[in-house]
Amino acid sequence: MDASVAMVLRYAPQIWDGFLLTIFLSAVTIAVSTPFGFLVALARESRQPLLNWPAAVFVNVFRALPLLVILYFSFYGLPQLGFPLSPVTAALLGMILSSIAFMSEDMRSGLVGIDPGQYQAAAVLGLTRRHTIVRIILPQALRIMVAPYITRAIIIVKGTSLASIVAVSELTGTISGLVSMTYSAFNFLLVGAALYLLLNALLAALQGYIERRLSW
Amino acid sequence: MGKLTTLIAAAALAGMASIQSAQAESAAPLKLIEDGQPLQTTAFPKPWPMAHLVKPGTLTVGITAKTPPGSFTATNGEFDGSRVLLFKKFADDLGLKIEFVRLDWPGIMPGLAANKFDIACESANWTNERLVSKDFLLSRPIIANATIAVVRKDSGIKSWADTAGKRIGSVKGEIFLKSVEAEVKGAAGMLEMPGRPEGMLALNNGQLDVFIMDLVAARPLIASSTGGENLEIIGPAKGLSVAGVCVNKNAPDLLQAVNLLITNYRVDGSFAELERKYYGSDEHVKLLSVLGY
Repeated sequence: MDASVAMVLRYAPQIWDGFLLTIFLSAVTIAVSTPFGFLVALARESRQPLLNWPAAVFVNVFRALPLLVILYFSFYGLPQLGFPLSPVTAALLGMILSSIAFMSEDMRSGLVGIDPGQYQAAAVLGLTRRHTIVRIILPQALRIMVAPYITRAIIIVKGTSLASIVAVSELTGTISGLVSMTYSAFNFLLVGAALYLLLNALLAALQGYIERRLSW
Repeated sequence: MGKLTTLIAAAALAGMASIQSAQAESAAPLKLIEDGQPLQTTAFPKPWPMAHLVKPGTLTVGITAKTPPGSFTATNGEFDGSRVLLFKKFADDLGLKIEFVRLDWPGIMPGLAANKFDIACESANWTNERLVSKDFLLSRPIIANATIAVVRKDSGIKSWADTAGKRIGSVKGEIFLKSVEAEVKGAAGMLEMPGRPEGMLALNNGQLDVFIMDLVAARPLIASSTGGENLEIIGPAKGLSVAGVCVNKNAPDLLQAVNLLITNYRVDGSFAELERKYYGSDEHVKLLSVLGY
């Protein structure tokens, strides 16, 4: 067997653990950011200043900061303020805050993408605003949101690679550790790339499935 | 018959040996080295015609400039450090121009393998995997090194045994943790830090209790870290290792030349002097003698 293949096989358990951690970080981030992102999107579209103002500030702060900076602060900065977090908790906190900000905007674009005439028509028909959003707007908006939502999910999967700077040995962290240790670069990098491709291909397939289900 | 022959042969050999030793004692000792002769291999081509350089006539060096005091960017924007000066010395002595390419560590080894530089690595510890790599060539050692632990002074950790139940960390991909695996097997958890400054920060933050690294870099790192006065080194140092530089796999002639020069710098003490200036000590260079380098 080729030596570089043998080397990858020797470290396969470590790479697998890193891959599982990448899946875990992505899944938790997506699962938590989705409902919160949606709430923030609704809050931003709300006519209540007490809701839309804080939502706008939150989005514009966490959308403006690089994820790297957020992660650095949550792991290395918070302990100095008396909040020591474990690496995985710090990474999840940073990624979730950042993802909520972006996801809420993706979802809001779905909401505002619906012709305002429909809101007016619903109002004329005597529907409440809540009823209008749940029964009229959302079913159409969801279809618009699918592509940006899955794209965001893919960005989140790739974004987990930054977690290695807060001592989380996810896939990229594990791979770059192995490259440093063995000084053998391409075999490990190729395996890492293939695993990200696999994960994101699954998400792309999911997008196709959802789009078919939502089409009419 | 066989036995008798053996006995005679043995007696004859013994007789010859005694005659030879008597001669050796009586003859004047043959002098290999004349007084005042330079103790260096000076017989090498200058300039050395290098056939496989990435850029002809120029030594292209890949550095991180992020491992002070061996390699860093000085306040004037120039690269500085004992290993930077070592690379410059190679270029000078080989009659080549020098060009530094600064890259973060994850890009250095792929870059060397992809023929972007002729030489790289501020110091690469020898390991089985690296010695047999097809991606690059390892030079003869420039330093010897060993593994120690950095702890907070108030942590109560005074020996390897005290690390039981403590949170330990080391830089991702560094080999030093491996040599103390037995010593720290009782540790509570293990964090792979992205770099050494982050390790010092995590120690001071209380996110880590023990940071495993190499002895040579530990002292200057502690001295230059914020909160370094709260940190100390514990030993005894384990896992004596040696480290060289990495040479492009296409350039065996460069490896030959670099090995010759490293040996010369060992003999005339010029590399030890650079290390003394930047690291405050040259014991890690002198220690190489114990290993025959």
